[in-house]
Amino acid sequence: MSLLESSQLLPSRRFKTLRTIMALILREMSTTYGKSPGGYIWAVVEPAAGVALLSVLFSLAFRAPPIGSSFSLFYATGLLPFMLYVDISRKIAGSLAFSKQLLFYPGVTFVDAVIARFVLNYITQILVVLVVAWGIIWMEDLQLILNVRAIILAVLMAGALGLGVGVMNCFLFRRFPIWVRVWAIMTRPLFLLSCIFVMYDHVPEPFSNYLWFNPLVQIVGQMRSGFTPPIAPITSSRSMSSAWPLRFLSSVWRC
Amino acid sequence: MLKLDGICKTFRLGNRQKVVANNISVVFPSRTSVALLGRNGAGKTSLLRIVAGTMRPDSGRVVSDGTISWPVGFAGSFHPELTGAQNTRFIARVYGVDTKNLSAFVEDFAELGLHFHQPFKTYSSGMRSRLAFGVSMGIHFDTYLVDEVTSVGDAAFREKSKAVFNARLETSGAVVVSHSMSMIKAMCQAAAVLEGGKLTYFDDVDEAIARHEENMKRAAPV
Repeated sequence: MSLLESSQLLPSRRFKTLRTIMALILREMSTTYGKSPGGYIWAVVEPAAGVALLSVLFSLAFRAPPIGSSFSLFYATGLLPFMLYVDISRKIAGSLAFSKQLLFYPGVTFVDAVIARFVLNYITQILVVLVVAWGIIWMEDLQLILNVRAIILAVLMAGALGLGVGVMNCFLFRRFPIWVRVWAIMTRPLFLLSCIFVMYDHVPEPFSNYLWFNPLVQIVGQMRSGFTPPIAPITSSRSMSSAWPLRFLSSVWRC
Repeated sequence: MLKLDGICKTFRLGNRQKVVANNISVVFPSRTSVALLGRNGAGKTSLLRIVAGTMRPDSGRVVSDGTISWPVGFAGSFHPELTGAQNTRFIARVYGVDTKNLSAFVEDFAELGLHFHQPFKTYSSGMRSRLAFGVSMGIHFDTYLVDEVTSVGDAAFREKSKAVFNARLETSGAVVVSHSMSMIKAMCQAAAVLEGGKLTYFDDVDEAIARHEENMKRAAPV
């Protein structure tokens, strides 16, 4: 029992939050897709392949995109920020259930659990965006001028919205279990209402006014504005879509 | 030193209220094992969780100048897909102890052999408790929380566990919940009786046990 007295077994109080978050991230990485060979790589490959397949299928069905020359790129630029938002908001909403047993340890707080989940899944989703966008550009040999700042902004906006909605639902799902069903029904048409398949500018007058209040429309528009020739010029209001996630977050914080 | 300062905690059961802690203020000295006595449902486990920091009191605070463990022997947080070694490393990271050292200690202590590197879900219940107890003992806390530790393993392993825990208690304190008075007499130097939301601290264990048994003869306070 010489190890019993080892001073390296004294718990340390330094960098406690950072250490816990790292431990949670490593744990999630080794438990998700732990069984499949390749492990966590599937977390990137699976959604990337899914988005790529959808984009290719839609490009077979329609000949010309509303704007630009590549149909798959048009869809992908809409689908990617949308999927990023959906994935982040779902994972964050489930973060407390996911780490429930770990909250038993005084060393793990619920904020650690939310942050760890956000960091890991956000990085994963950013990799998905990079892999799919780069893959389509490379395979179709597209000549584009990328506005990297606009794309980064779109990714940040989608992440912030996902985090905000996720944290809000994390609370509401637990407090009002019926909200799980209501939310699932309410957000079902979101896929069609986020201007992934159509241009915002092509939506007729009364409806476009309503769509304007969907923050995802702004995010998709922001994403497309990063790919020139500009696929979507002025459909994004940054202040609009950055206000939404903050509103969700603050409503939870006030509880 | 572990100090509870004006702790209040009330649970709502339907429209009735159950008071677990009614303005409890007490100081547990360092390096002292304190038994926590009380009838079933008096709130011993809740109080332990408040001390551990996993349950928030309605008011009041817990102050400690040292580190506090999670209830010793808790296995519920081990992930079934991860191996014993991976689960051990996770806890080492959370508590900031050296992962290699803790793994080495647990591997040697828990006597799991090759199973240490197999998924936790394949373990028998005895192996699970040995791993959990090993991880608890591996980290050197200033205060250990013990909630009804049931003896695990064969006689030899029990002897070893007892020896290691006693070695730990030479330099650390503990808060022990148990219904076994013989174990409490053997382990603890002081005791506190929880009854009707009030905690009474005794420097003498026998005195506390006498008070507790007196309480048990009466009906539970509402």
